[in-house]
Amino acid sequence: MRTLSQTVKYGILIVVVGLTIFPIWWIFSTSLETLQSAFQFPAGLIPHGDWQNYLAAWKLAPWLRFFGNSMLISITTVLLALFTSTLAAFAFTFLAWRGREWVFAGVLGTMMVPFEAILVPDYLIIRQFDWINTYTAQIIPFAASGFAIFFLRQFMRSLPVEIRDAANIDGASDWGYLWRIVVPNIRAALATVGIYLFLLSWNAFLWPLVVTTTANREPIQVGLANFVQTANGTDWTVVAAAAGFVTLPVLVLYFVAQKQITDAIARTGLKG
Amino acid sequence: MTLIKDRHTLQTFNGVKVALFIIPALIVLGIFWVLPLIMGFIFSLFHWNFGQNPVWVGWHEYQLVMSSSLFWQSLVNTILFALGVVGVGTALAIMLALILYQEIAGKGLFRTLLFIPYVMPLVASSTIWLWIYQPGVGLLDRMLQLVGLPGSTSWVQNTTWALPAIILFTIWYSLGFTTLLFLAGLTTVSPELGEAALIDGASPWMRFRRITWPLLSPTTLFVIIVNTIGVFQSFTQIFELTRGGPLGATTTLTYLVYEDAFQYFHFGTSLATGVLLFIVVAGITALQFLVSRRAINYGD
Repeated sequence: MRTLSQTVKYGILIVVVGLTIFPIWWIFSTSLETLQSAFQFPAGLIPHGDWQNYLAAWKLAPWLRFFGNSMLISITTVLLALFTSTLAAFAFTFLAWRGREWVFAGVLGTMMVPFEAILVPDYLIIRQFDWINTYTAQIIPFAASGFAIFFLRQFMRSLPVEIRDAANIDGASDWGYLWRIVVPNIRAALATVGIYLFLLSWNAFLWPLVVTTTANREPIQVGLANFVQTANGTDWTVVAAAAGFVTLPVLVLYFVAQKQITDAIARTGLKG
Repeated sequence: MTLIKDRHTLQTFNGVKVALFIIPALIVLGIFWVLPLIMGFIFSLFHWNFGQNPVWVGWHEYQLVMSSSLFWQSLVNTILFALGVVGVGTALAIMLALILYQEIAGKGLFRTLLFIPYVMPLVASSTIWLWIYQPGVGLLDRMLQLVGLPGSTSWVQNTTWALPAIILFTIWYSLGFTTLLFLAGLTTVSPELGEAALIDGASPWMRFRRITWPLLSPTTLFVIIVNTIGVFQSFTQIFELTRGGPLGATTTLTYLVYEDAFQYFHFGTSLATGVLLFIVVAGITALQFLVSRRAINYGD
């Protein structure tokens, strides 16, 4: 009886997880096929080890530029957002000021706004600033995050009060307290939020789609979408190769920082 | 709690210093999150096409939206989309979480693999599925042919199957995430209760029905709300797989906001639709805050 139920459980797991990763396996195997062999089924499921498609796809679009754009945008966004959010979380945790709870409620309120609902007004603001087709347009709107402020504040509040008292006795300024004591003690939280914001920025699509107009400012997601559109129906193996090398960096990051990623995502439950 | 918070706080007040700490974040959130919301409400009261001067029209744009059949179609699509993803996704995720919560070999590997689609760029994963859905030669049709079915449906170009195709993709993509939330929820269910019931001779189904399921209900509610919001915000897979088509069969509220403004340059109706989208999602999110406050109180 026990072994039977074990078998059923493994059966369910293998089927569901198999179906989950099968499409990903398929894209990588297809990317290593020739166009003829890719359409043979199920023989096409075993990769040939043909790297031609990667070379072909690589030559068809300025991928290095797209990668560079995405890297620049994501890293700058994360650094700025961590900086502004750490400062704000500090003021919400350690400084006493009138209206603090109200302003904090307002910051939490921004987490309730779906970006899609303010897409058009934001676009009009960006156009007013003359930021269309710039990196700035893709970075600055995300250079602070209600979620990051909320998350970091939670961690700052959990720091032992004795540390604060000791710092007070030593006469440390708030600024010194923040950088010498608080930040080193919430490194884990900063890493979690940072990785989460990085994924959000790296995978962003709708916003860069509307604010970019030329390839030299497009991030990799928009580059891939345009590439699929132009190559659609012509050569799937090349498209598969492009999708493959767009996915690879994220997969590497996931395997390196799996704990932080699942932790951050489980806590927010929000992803655009 | 209040005591600890107060002891954390410096008892000196210095307005300039506080301002230096909070202003960078507040400027960004104010200009790009709060201001657009206010602008959305105000500008939606103007008639405004690209390149023209705005004209005050009151509720006219809302009347236009409400009288458009595409708006109602996309509202229905969004609700069906949410029901499909939340209904099937939640049931599958509970089952997987219950299995993965037990001591079984290889569960770490299964969890890792299950979560991969959620971290993949949606543009890339939608591209994979665009090929899966190709009529005749795509993976789905090949598999149907293998079991002797006709297998030549143009899944994403067919008014009947396009929305189910989007729903199937979205379940695939979010299943790892939903399972993760249930696994987190299961840690709050005390194992002693299950063991006590086991001694009393309760069957596995009875233990689930009478103990795990009721204790898991805050998590279930949270999952339903979070995934509903996720569906309301979905854009990439619709853009990549169907562009809202065919004949509006997969146009959702979010897609309508985009299409109206950036394909047809009808800013007025797009803004009005955006405001309606905000009201719906904010309502659901407010519900989430109420639910998660309960969960957080438990955690503290």
